[in-house]
Amino acid sequence: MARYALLLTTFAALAAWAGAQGPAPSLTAADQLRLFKSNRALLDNLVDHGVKMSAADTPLARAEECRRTALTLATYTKRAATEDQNPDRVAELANLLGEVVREGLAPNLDEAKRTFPPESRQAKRVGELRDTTKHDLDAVRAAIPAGKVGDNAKVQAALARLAELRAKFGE
Amino acid sequence: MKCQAVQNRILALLDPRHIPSAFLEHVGDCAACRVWVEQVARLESLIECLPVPPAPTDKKASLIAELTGASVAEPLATPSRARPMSSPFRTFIRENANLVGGLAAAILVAFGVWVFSSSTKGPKADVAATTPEDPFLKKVAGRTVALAKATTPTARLQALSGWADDLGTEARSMARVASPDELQEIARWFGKVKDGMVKQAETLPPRALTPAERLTQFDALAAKMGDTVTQTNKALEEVSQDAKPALERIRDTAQDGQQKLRDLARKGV
Repeated sequence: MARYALLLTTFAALAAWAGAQGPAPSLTAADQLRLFKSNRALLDNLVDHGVKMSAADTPLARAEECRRTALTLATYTKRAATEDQNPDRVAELANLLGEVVREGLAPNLDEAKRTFPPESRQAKRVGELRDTTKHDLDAVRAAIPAGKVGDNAKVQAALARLAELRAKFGE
Repeated sequence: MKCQAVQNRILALLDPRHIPSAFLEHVGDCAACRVWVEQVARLESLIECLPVPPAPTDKKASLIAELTGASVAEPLATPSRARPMSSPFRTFIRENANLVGGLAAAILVAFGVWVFSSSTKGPKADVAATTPEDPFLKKVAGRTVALAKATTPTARLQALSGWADDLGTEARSMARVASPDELQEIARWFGKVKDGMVKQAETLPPRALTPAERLTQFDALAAKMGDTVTQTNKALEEVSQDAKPALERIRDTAQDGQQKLRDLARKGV
């Protein structure tokens, strides 16, 4: 009898635990629409950057477009930090900025640097793009206010990744 | 029969000093039950010996007057001890005390776990205060990065094709909730990406692909555009009138892209 009761207790406890492990909540239609409304202008910019990127057939041209994309994302990140003061959005945009710089801009700059002679006009432009990227990343970091946004763990993690990326571009 | 069951049944008897023959065999053979029955019988006898406080002197007279004065004779209550003994529910409880106890414990544990899991999910206000990440924004940024990494015209075509697919899917998904203006915006983006694809296909260097490769690749891209046409037509049957113009624009754009890619596939073959 005691064994039966123990079995029942264990089963009920497991069933309750399993019930509590629901799937991660997916985005509701209302959330989807709200996000679309707040990101609409940024999406429009990104579509333009992407289509122009598809027409860029040299590493330098792609790096130029990547830098413009990064600048757009940096602007929206700063706006989210200072105007919206929304740490989740700051972290999300900073991560996207990092992705564009890490996977798009940096490899194309490296490739362009290898392609052109050091004294060429294009090589000089590569150097300028590196400098402006450093400046863009520094500006994002400087724009994050202390407190609600700056102290947020997700924001700090995103900024740490950007700082790591910034270090690769040198002092 | 087990000792516990026998003892429970004896407890349920009107007078446990009179053991029915059904239990006598067990009690006779089991020393523990025999001792137990003797103790129960002694207890029963002692209860009878307990002094009863005297009733008020006029209580008997008033009770008789009350009973005789009643117009309808109410049945007298059965002895208080007899009622629980004859209740099948209470008998069942006594006989299955462990099972019932186990079930009660299980329900309590389940309730406790539920309360605990609810409380560890944090206050609802905190959940509502967080902004979820936008999967569509992530996709669009990802497509831009994919195009930045695409070093060949065919890789760029593939990236653009995937992007057009994303935009068509997003438009269908948003068709029920977004305003006509918002849907038109997505349709406009779809058009830009389709134009980018066609331009890319048109300017593809002749030596980039063999005629056979060109036919295969462009036909595959045209087929993907065809899928968008089919799925958008399906969605058009289900959406409101307001949403239709934007979806029709996407469908027409996709049809145009499909036709142009097919034509380009056969160019020079």
